Amino acid sequence: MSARAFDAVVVGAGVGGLTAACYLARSGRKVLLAEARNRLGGRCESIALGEGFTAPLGAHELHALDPRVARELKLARHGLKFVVRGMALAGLGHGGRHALIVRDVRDTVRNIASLSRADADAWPAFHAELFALARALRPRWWEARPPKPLARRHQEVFEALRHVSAAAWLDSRFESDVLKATLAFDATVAGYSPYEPGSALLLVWRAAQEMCGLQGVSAWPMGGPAALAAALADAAKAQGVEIRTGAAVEHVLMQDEAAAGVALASGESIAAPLVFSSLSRRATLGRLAPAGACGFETLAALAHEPVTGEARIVLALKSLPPFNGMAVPATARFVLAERLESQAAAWSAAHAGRLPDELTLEFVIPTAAEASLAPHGQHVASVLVRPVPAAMSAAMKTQLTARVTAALDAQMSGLAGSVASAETFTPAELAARYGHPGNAVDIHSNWNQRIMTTIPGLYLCGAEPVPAPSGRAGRIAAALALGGGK
Amino acid sequence: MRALSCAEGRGLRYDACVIGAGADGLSAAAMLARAGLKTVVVERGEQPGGRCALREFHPGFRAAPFTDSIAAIPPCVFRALDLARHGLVLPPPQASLSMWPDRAHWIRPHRPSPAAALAQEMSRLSDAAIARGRDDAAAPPHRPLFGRAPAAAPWPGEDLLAQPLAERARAAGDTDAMAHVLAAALEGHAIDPDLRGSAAALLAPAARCLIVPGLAEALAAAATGAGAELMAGAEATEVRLLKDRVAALVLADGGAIETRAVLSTLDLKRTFLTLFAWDALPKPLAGRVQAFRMEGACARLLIALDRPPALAPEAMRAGIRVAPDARVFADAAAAWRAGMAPERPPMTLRVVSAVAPALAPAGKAVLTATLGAIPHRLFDGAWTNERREKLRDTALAMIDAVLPGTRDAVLAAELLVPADIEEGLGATGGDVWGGEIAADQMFAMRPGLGAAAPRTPVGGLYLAGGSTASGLLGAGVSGTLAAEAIAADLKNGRRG
Amino acid sequence: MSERPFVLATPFHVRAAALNRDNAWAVRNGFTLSAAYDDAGDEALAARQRVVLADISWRWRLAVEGGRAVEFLSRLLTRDPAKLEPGQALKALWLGDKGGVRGACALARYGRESFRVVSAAEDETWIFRAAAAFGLAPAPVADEGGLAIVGPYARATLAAAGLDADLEPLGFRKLFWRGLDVTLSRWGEHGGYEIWCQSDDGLAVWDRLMRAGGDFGIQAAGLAAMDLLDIEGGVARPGRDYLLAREAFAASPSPVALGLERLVDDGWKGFNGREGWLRSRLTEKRRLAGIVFEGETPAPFTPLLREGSAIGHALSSAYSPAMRRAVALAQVDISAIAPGTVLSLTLPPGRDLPELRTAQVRVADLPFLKPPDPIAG
Repeated sequence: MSARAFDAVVVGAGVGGLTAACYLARSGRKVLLAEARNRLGGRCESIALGEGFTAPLGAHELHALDPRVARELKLARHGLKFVVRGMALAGLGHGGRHALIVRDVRDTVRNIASLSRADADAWPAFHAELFALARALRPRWWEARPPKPLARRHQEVFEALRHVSAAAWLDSRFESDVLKATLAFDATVAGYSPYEPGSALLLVWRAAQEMCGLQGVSAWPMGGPAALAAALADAAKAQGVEIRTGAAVEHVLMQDEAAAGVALASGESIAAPLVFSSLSRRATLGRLAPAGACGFETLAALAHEPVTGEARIVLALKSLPPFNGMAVPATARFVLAERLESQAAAWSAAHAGRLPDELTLEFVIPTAAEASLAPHGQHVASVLVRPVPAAMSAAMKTQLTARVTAALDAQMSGLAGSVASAETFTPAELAARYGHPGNAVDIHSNWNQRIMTTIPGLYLCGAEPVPAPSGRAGRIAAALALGGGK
Repeated sequence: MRALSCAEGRGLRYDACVIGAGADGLSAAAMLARAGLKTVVVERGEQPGGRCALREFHPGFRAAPFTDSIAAIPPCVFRALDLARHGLVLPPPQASLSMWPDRAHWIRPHRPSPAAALAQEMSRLSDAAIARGRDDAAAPPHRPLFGRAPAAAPWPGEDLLAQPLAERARAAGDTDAMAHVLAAALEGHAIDPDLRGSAAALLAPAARCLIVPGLAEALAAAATGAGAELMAGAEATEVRLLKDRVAALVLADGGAIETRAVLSTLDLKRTFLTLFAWDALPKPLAGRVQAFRMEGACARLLIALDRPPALAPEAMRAGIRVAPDARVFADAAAAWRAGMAPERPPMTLRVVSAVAPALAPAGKAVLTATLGAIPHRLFDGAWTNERREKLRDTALAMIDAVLPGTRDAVLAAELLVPADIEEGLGATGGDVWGGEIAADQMFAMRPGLGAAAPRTPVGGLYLAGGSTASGLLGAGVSGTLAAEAIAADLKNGRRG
Repeated sequence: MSERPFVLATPFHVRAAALNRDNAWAVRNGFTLSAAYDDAGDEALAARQRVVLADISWRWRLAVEGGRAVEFLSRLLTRDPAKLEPGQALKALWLGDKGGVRGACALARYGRESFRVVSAAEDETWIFRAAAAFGLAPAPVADEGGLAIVGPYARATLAAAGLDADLEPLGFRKLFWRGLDVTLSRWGEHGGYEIWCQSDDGLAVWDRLMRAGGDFGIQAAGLAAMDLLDIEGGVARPGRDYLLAREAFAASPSPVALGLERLVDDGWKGFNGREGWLRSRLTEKRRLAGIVFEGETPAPFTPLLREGSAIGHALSSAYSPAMRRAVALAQVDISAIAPGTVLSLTLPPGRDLPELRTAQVRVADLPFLKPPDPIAG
């Protein structure tokens, strides 16, 4: 057993770990990044789906990348370029009547008018309120130091929204089922039901993000989210981070009740005064840290194993049929969710371990933005189904694939026939690949509370308030650790 | 008891006019009259009592039609109204019994068990929240409904607003105990116990008081004994304003009562949306009132039995949960939201005549059933006679399954669906409790941010009852708080 | 419609019932026990002058066994369990994450990987969850009863019964006693012994001890007498004098406020809640003190005043026949705990004097009386 001295060890080479490593190295520290698997990138991964087809697994669009990370680490120079900067949000409804939400407010009003005149009239005010509140709340989600108090009008709305469910909020503004359900889909992350209190704030959080200078949008980088991971890995190597793959960390070493390094599964010990874990708080404190070292009550308060999860399906398509009904851009982010009520039923069913009767899902067609991801004239589609039970049997998996294909076929007639191959990943398979998402949504704590643990020297660099590739937690974790965080 | 006829009421001037002679209205009237204010209570029904009034649903058989119990009357209110002197004896807290065909599970209030401990903890939180409501109402400067909300300390029990009910119920013990706790908390509701925030149902209300004969009478006697006047058979239809302040209350027969203050114990929506013209309310207020969610989920079955069911005496006096199943509540809530009537609605039975023998003739019994997750409006239309019959038969079959032979003893069975409760009680959507139990509609958010005080943005208009935080947690509390506020405002000439 | 009863009888109930003259019972930790057999004061005096037998089956006992038991207990308790030899015990506390006292216990080591925790109050759920992080599944000890033998003639009684009572304080030993498996220990706060046996053997154990103690005037003592010994001995009890921390992340009560700081090892690191403990040591302003009355009327749970302003409050209080005066445990601000400080409180009205009176009391060191030495007789 040899001990090599580093200034910091980062566990896990996902976006959070890579970002933390880059910032630590940038400030002159000697950093070791230990990744258990043989590839870097965590949830930002693309897989090959037969000859010439490349589909994103894990994340299939980016909406939360911190612009300061992109700028300060010069990710553009390391190969990160965006092909689609503001993806539209298209809620596909019955009979070709879709809710198409684009950046331009007037265009959106025109689109919604075909669903409901009243909703079209209400959209500008809703959009303005949502985005203004998001901007006002942005400092508390982007900055480590305590934010200035909010203006009174925003404080009132924020206090109210802490308890309001996304469903109640949207119900009070709009009448069209497909519009409400489409907007509410973003409030179903991490096992939330749109009927739970606080889910309205998830919509505000999403609107507080900024991609490519645009507020509250999703974007597609060239090469998919995997390109973000590649750019970060490149930046890390350029900064002198020592990256080791196939190096699983067994546990954190402690000395005098503080973190003092890590022990690898191979038996090697690495000494370092700072340890950053990009695993969830639960995995870090429950598995990596010595048993009970974080405090028994803290341990008991950690989130439970999630009962519901997301499934991912990637499809190789021989051709892309047009959408039924209203014209929608193929580069959009598509959501299939009929009504808010069916989302409640879906949540309940998934919670009970059944596939919901009405599936709610999101999908993108990366080849619409980047044709080179598939052979000429062919396409890939990436589908995210949420919620599904965390424990899915093989029969359920087959059933899910069939039902998703049928659901997409209902919106694009002929799609079922053009599927060349499909691969489905259940929540358990994704967890085995990436580690459990584990981190519950936590938009109310401040960064100190999310990143620091009760063990001095141990930081959580993947502790995003809402799970999504972002890098913000890594950047702030590095700053807190180096600044002698309290 | 001096009751005015409408004719006498016309043209008289009062200091305060209370709408609704329920527990909160009558307690408010008693306190107002004691404070020396000329007070009248205006009640739509022929008898006072609101939810506490009993109905003779079959000759010789009486029951409280809308709910078996109201929120418990806290001791401070009981003493302030001197209800004991008016002859009221409240029954002790009821035990709860879950019955399945092959087994049973008890939760007794004074016998130690995790479930009973949970109930006691909730009771303590509820008491603390009621005390907090009093403190907030008394704190200067007074804060009107929907007004600015200063940063306030969290309310007792506020952490329940982030927890799923199922998690608290699971701590009660095995699956039977968990199902029992869920059934008790969700009686008459349609709430998914796995959703975060559903634990608020444990507080809504935590302690209940069975409605017994004499309750409505004692409350009315407390009011009239203090000098308030009671006008029955008079429906309030409009609050007339003069220079943005309350000036008079208009009744259905056209008569008007001049008054300086109006206290409405109607629910939030009924108060603002029926007593005022749409454009008479400030815009933001109207919007907030519209956004307040109220929709009944409870149906009631009142059954007259030829003989009491075959149960041990202790079980006869308990609240009986019919074969509760933890999974059913989540599915029922989802179905309710979609407007579908459940196949097997969650059900609680009470042999109310075992607690209060005066409700039924000698040797006979009154059985009430409270069904949860019953939609106000079905997704494919209204509650036709056919659908009512079907629900009635389903319920009777379920009752017969746990109490064999009951069906044969049925002399009469009256079903009330949410729409009937709406009509009979004047409660929007048939919601007996005055508003949905949800995290954004509890405590300081009930009925809206900053709504700790009974004062409203309309000068001279006050609100009490289930739509307020105190009103949900304890009967009579919001009424006494409103009375204190009104008395203080009128005496100081403050603009309410 | 059968159900498990929530209040149980102890293995000695039949004998206790026969001796309980006034049918005075109390419930503690889910067991029915005699509150007093005859007169609590007499029983407490007997414990000081002769020897008494008290039913302590209500104490919570937990068996912690497994390879990681030492590791777990090291993190759980405020003293190092690794140094214990089998047959030895230590007294320690376990704290919540923020330093609030969750329990006090005697930890007995039965073997290399086998321990027992003996405590006055249970904390099952919390400890089970904490132990699960170490892969351990502690089990409450059921089907066992316990008796305390307290008094100057305690050892003589045991010897007369045929038990080898040569034990160091905090020691314990398993014995085979003429056909019965028992454990003899010295874990109590009153200087006596404890004997633990299988439920089925309870009545036999009781009878043997009562017979052996006959020469020394042995008497059964109920809960009230033992509580009186607690007060005289300066031992504050959870539930009676204070509430243990039960909410997660509670910092109160602190060991210092309860007079239990001697159960925390200064040099012991790495136990749960240590940061909170270190902080409370510096910031805790309340201390456990003794209050001595002039007269015989006790005043439990009354505020204590110094020159008109509140300076603390009395906890449990009782008339001590051994001291012929009323005494009380109290929680007092650190500025007023010097022995001899005069404080005042309001005496509750009694049958003799129906009005409230103010009385002056003196602060005294704890314990008021030292526990009876069991080997004196």
